[in-house]
Amino acid sequence: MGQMLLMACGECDTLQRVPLVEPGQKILCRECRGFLYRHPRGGIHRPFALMLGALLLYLLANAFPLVTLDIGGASRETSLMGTGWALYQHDMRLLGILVLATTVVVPGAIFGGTLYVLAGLRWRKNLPGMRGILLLLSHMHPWEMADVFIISVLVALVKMSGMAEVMINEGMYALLGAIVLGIAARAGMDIFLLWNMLEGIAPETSPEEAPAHAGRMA
Amino acid sequence: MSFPRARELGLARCDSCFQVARMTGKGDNCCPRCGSRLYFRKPHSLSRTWALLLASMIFYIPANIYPVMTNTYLGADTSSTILGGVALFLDEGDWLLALIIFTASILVPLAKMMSLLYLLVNVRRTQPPRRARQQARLYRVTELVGRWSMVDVFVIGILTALVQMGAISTVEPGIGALAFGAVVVLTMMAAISFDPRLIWDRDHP
Repeated sequence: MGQMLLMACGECDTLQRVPLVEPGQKILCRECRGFLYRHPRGGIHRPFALMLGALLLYLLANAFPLVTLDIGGASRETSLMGTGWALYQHDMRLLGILVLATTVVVPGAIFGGTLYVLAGLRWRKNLPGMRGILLLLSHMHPWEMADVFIISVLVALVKMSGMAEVMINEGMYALLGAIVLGIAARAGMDIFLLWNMLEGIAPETSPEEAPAHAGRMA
Repeated sequence: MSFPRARELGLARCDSCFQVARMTGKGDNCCPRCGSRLYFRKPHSLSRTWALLLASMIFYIPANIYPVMTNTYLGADTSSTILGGVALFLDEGDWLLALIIFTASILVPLAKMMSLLYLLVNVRRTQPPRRARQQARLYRVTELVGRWSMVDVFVIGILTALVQMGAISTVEPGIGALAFGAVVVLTMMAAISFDPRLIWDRDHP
């Protein structure tokens, strides 16, 4: 028997020792079948490369218009930021801020922050703020809605197609690419194992202070 | 049911990094690995979830009564509510889009509120373990699908940004959209506040 990990299920609180599984396998809770952790294939290099691509495409998505609308010769385009900003300007400040946060700020922070942490882990460097960023990333995901936004763009396009000519621009393809690469990157990492790796290169407490049951057991 | 539960042994799982650590019992305990606050169960989970759920139910009323947007086309105003938007797609024969909007804007928020209500009402009642498993699965799904309700809000934002053609056609967001945004955020916060471990606690007094 190889290395064992001590885990408690987040859904039913069942305490269990689980083996360190082979890449490509995951471990579910023996009591409630809730997800415990997953050992992704490809090590740290794969999510790093994918996330780098996602961030670059995401920056491009912000630099170019997403869609153009054309009604009888008058045309108008919008960007990713333009959507939340339009609501903000049309007397819907709170809603505009919510849209800007979920489609621009949080996705950007997740792409950039994850890449930063992965870079530190990849080169085994204790970068400043790594711990805090990973902590933030652990709670940010429900508020990242770029994927929901893409569906919304398609719905809006169909809605307008009857009265106007609509065109999909470069920004939309870049955003789609960023989302796909982001999902692939996320599939290549596991938050529990990332913390284990981070602990290996940047221990917060000195070994003599650490509690006796520090997650791993021989 | 032969496996011990972490709390019975004085251990707590960190919400952020999943480290299992001992609770000392005095004052606030922090995770030795990431520094987050440790607790056996999310603090005031049930009262927080109740409060957020009730607030979302209150906002659900204006979200459906008031128009989510107003379209001015060649001088004529048309205001539409969420339900009206679905009806419009159906009238035009876009049943797929009608289905998407109906699911994201009506079915998902309602189902989410109902399932949270069901979980809150039943969490303290003794029930067969099979029921607990079903409820745990219900919670998992509820937590996962909530964000998709934002589709309508984003659509309104995109239309507001694009359809600004002066005298020909303009789109203005309506107050219903703000209320609907509040429903989505509040139900998401309610789902996050709920601690699924409470579902299993009743079998382990």
